[in-house]
Amino acid sequence: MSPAVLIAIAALFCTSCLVRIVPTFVSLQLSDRTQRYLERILPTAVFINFAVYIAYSEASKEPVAALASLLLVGVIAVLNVSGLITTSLIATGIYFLLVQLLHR
Amino acid sequence: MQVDSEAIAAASSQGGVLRRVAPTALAIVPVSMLFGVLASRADWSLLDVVLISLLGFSGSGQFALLPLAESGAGFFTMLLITASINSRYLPIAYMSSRRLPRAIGQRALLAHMLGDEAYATEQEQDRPAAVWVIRGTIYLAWVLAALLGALLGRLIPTAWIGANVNLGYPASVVLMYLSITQLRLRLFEPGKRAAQALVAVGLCAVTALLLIKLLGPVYFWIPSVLLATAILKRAKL
Repeated sequence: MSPAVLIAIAALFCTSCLVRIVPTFVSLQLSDRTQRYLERILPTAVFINFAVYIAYSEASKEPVAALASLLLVGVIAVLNVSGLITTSLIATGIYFLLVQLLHR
Repeated sequence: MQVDSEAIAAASSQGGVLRRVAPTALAIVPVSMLFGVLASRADWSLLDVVLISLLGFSGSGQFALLPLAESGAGFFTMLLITASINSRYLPIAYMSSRRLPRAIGQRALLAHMLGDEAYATEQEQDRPAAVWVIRGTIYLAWVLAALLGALLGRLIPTAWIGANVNLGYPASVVLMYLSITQLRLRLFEPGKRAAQALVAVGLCAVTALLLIKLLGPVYFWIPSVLLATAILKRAKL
């Protein structure tokens, strides 16, 4: 194992300790308002940012294919008309089909 | 009411949890395999790939460290970058900590196995046993796929790995679906003001997009999540 790889592994493990393990051992006395904030508002904010981040990252690679496919995923998820596997298969299929068509 | 409790019980059973996590675990396989292939091409050994997947367990972090390790970056540079990339886990880890067992070792291990996909798959009412199944399945899939990728990276010719094939796309689709589903469940329940929720979500999304443009996709997370919480709080959702 090269020293550079060892340093990389150590850095990523320390990161995991800092951002994932330590917060689960921190206990705070929370008011009802703060509790609501942590249970409802903060997760909602995180999921909105997940969605925007994914759309941005994928659109920067293949704008038309990614936005068309992800828009479809969004509509299906909001209307709750199909499950995760079917949606993933359809959306991924449409993405790669559009990529092929657009790069012909 | 009875139907609801039956549905929750079914989703919480061992089989139900496995059915819930299986698509997600499958979707991350190509991403982790791609990491294994690229690491193998960068002369990382199989042990290196397995160790970083086990101890690091971070897609974005692992991909970011590949070129950094090659360029000889120092420990603190790598720590700063990976901590920034993964800073979103701070609130997620804190919020999901109530689902974890009390025993210190198990709690720490399950916390380490937290990922975006696991967080989006888990539900508020999940017990530690369900969390074990969800996080353990995704974690194992991640590590094994990286090992498989590293093995393939040694065997397949370079030309076969098309530079234009976006192997990470299925994982993006899964995370998008799970995120939107979580938003629908949280914001668009019967009796809630849907129009107000839509406006607030739109405003949060535009803010996030502006911050990505301004700060970049690595450093936008914390300010963007904080601003989004302020907007949602003001909208009284």
